[in-house]
Amino acid sequence: MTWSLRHYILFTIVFLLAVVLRIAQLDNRPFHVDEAVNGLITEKLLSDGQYTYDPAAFHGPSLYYLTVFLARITGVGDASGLSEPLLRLLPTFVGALLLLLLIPLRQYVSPKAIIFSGFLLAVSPMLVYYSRYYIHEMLLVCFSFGFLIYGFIYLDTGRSSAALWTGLFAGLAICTKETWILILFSVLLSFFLLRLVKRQKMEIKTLHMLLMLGAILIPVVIFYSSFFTNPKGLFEIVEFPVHYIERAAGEQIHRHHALYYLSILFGYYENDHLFLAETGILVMAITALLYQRGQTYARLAALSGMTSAILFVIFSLIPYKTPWNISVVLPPLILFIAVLFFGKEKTVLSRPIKGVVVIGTAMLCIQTVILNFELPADPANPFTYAQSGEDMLKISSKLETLRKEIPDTDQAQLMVIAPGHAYWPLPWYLREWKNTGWWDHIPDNFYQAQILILTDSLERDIGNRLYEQISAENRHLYVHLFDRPMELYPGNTVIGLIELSLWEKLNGKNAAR
Amino acid sequence: MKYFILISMVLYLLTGVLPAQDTMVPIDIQLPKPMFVGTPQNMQVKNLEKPLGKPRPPFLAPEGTKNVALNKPVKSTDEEPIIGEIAMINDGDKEAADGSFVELGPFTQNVTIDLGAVHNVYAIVVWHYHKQPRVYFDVIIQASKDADFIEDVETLFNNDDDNSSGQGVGKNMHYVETSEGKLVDAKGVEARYLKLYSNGNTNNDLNHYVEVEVYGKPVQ
Repeated sequence: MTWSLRHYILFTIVFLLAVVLRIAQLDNRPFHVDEAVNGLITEKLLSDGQYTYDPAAFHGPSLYYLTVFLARITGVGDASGLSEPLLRLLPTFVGALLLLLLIPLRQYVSPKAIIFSGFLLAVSPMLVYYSRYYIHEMLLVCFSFGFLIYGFIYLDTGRSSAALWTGLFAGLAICTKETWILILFSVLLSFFLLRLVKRQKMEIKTLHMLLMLGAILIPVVIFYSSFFTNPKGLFEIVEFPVHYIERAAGEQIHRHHALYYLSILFGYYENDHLFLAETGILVMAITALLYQRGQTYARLAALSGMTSAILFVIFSLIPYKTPWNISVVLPPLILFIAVLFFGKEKTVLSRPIKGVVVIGTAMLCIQTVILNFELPADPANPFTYAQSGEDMLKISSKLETLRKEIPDTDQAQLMVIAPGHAYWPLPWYLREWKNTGWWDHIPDNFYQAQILILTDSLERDIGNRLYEQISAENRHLYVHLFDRPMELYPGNTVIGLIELSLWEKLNGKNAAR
Repeated sequence: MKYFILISMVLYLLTGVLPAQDTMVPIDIQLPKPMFVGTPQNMQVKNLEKPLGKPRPPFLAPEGTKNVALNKPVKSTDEEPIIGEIAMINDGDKEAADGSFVELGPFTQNVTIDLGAVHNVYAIVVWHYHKQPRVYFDVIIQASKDADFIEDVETLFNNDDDNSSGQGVGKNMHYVETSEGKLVDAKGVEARYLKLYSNGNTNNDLNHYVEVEVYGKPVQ
């Protein structure tokens, strides 16, 4: 289809909008536990060059290696240069890259459809939210969408370059997160259904098959073997389904009802707030399905619509649910809407449908502003999940002030004690404290610490032990560091204790100023 | 002999000049690294009470008030618990450790404690499970003189905000389980039977009890 200068300009504006929405105020929300864990893994990789894939605990290696690559090209050579906004740059960049994946479709659908898809991808509240979040999700969403688009182009054109890209995107998805298996399965199932319903040809030449396989293997071998230094990592890929099934079926703490994703996407009521999030998308999808069927490029619409629906059903049926998992359904759903509305060059929408499109997109814009910029860390926000809030920043700022005031910080003993190692995301915020012990129980030598941060339920226990077990000559007096218990995230509260003599010394110093 | 005295004096002087050596040994301070963890549970519960942040003040009750539920007969809607025995609900063991709690089946379950005689009940303290922070849903505590809870039923606590357990909509707030237990003011109600409901928790659909204490005095 013909692209004029006006179309290129419009697409560039939409792309810039996506970048601005993703990059603005990147530090307006404290690190989530998962972001802190990913941050420290990346820090280790950047500073020591060490990373080993662990199939039991964490996701794939692509996030860490690509972040280190991005950090190096932005001039950050060691861990001291890492910050929350810098780490979030990679998902931001990948979230904007989603729009560029639409460009190869310009031979199939009108410029209007590409620009409209781009606009919805740019302003979708959930896609913006998780593009500003240092976890694996946006990478997975982007690579899966690339696999869908290039898979479609390959089956349509049989071009070897499309086979190569399809394989490469599949390989990158495999390197990102275990749920790739569900996503690639859903896309392949949609291709199969498309063949049944729309008589789409599904021939893959042997040479192209080999090309695809090679393209899959390149990132998989490089990343999982930690750049050929850990061949064991390659064999451990096969272990991941066992761990994933265990987690999906057995893990109790993330079990949610089947309608959970429906509610967080399309209507979530919490603390007197009603969040409509992606309802604009839903309204447009229903309208497109009811009134625009068969008017445009049907195969692409059918493929993207089916992929989105299959993914939604599969993820809803799995009891293990976290909100970011469902973001993968949005790009194909958006493509489905845009193709049905504007697939043909000369499509003219009726006035009521135009009204739905205007209202739907306006709703998305409003929800994006609310969810990403007004209430980004609010527990009522449907996209937050055990999200750290204001208290985390207060703890961090208080300890940072202390670190600067204590004469020899490297000698200052800081102990953090939380049953179940529930002290995250503190390890990220306290990474400058070199002399810190991290405990899941009260250690015998706890009284040697000048500063203690502990789960509030341990306060009485530590008081008893201090006075019953520790001799008077070894015992310090402690005072509270914060004026109240502080929340690491909802439901996890800590208190801070500081040795009285240190507190007096610091306060004396302050008074002398 | 002269040399011996000379050497002894030099050695004596040296011991005085050189700094005294402490016999203290360096303390082996372990500094464990932070252990990586998975995504934490999302404690997003409607109408959740803010933590007190300090020990609960003692509650006042008439002299002679004591735990009158200790080792009294208990019945449950789940007579064959998944873990533990029903009798552990009021055996005096309030520890969070495994072996100190009873695990009842999913959905709404209740336990009934028979105090043996009508008492003035001043307070009830209940520990569902405090090894990790959790919120139990539909916590309802009822007191009655009637074993079938048909007549004279007094609801002392109810946080079932959608009546999903069928005992009416409650106005009390959800709360996070702690080692202090939940103290419910019973205001001296006269009762022989106490019934406690729950309907799963933020971690799973199951119901747990570490201990239930009922503070009261026999009715004179």
